[in-house]
Amino acid sequence: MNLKRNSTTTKVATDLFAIQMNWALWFVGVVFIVYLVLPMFVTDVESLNLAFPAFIFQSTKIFMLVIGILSCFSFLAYFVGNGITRKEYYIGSAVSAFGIAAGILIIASVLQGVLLLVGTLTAYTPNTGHGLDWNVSSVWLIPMMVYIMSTFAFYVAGWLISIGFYGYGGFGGFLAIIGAIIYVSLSDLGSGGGHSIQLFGFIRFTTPEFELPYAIMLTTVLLVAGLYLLRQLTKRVPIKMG
Amino acid sequence: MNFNVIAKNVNLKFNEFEALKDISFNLEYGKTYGLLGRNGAGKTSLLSLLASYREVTSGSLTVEGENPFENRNIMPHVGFVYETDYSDEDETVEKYFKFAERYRPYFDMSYAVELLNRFKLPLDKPIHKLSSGKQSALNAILGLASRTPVTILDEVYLAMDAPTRELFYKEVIEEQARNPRTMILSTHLVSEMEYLFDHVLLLHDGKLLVDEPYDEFVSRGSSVTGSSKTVDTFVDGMQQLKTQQLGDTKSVMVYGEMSEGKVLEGQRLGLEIGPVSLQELFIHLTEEE
Repeated sequence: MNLKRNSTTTKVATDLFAIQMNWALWFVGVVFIVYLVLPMFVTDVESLNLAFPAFIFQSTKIFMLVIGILSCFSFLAYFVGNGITRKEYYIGSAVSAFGIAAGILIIASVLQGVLLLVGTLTAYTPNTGHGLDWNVSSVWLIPMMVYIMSTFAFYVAGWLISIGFYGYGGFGGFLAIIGAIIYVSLSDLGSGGGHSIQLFGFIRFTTPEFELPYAIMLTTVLLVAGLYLLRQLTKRVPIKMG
Repeated sequence: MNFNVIAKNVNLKFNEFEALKDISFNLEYGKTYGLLGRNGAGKTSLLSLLASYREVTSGSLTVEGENPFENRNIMPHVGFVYETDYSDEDETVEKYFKFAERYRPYFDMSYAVELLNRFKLPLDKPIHKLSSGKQSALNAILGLASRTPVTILDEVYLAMDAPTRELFYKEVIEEQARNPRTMILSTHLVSEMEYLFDHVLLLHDGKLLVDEPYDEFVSRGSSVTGSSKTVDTFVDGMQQLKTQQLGDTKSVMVYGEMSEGKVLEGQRLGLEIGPVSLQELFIHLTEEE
């Protein structure tokens, strides 16, 4: 029976990942074009001294927020209507979103790698690493985790808004939006510290900068709390018919 | 496996509104059930409990002895199709069916394709571009081809045109013969579907008014026609559902067991005693005062 659940949950995660990754590819593609075209129009080169993963970071958060908001309205009824339990959907959805957050970072990094290669082999300058403060000398895996976790937190926030409206009507949605704003603000405290500058060299936050271990701890605690809350809110939610 | 469905004193409340009141029944595997009721009688609420869309407020509902709500052993085996708003559905029919095939253990894609051809549904067209009749047919095909041991079709036939509905009814009968399962057809289009039902469940204002085999239920209704006075005397004390009078000829529809002796007595009195359709029983048992 456990095998059965695992296989259904895996299928849900895979299917959701396929759909959302399709959207994500469009999203990354469009932002990448903007990234390439922008230096032609903006003269303040300083502010463009960003690697692509850093450039796309804020937009990825919004993208994750949006696909989180779509969660209940686009998928929940569809999956439950096909005999999938809310729990299987919940786990599959969380795994998929985490995969999307990681996928976007990986694709963005690969694109950056290609640009660096172009920069090394040609004299073409914008966005190709010339003059870029691209510091990868630190332990890169941990900032990557923070990057993924903090974008994933926006999915959790979107999901919270989604279930707020879906399960508890307009007032529930309103409360969920307030909750989500507080949630992502806290989450940004975790991801906005000096460690990010270490990797991407882009965030100039004046808010408290947490040391990396604290940042990871804060983000982890927020994610665990957010996911726990979501499970409580979704585990018995009535499915709308329409 | 035996997918009997048992409801015991099921209640469902939406805040203060009681959608279902003390419902008890037992659905046997392999039979076709007609769930009848007027709009708002509670049919969809009852079916949504079976499909785990919501939970009972009190009482117990079991499928194969287990509570279906959030039960991964049961949910894949209960198929629930209903009139769905597909205006935002840009998936193609094929992708939609492939999705169901992934999650419904007994889904038969070749049967689905056969039905798609018969109902003239294109595989490669986005669903929102189909006419409402074709979308209804899509739901019906999904319900049939999923071959779920408990298959619930909640008024999916309403938007189909009459020939398509006929085709669908025929398919229900043939499919029940090939792959028996518990089939629940909810409808208020009683007249054209009654021959499909083995058993009738009639809901009215959230209460289960009738839970009987189709033949038994229909045999409870009779029309007594004859001269006004004789008819009045004959039906005295019986539950009368409807009276029609033309000159001295009166026809009264009565509800209740009529013994063979009583029928013979009526015939001796020159009365004509005939059957009543399920549709008529449905209308008159559920009409408001």
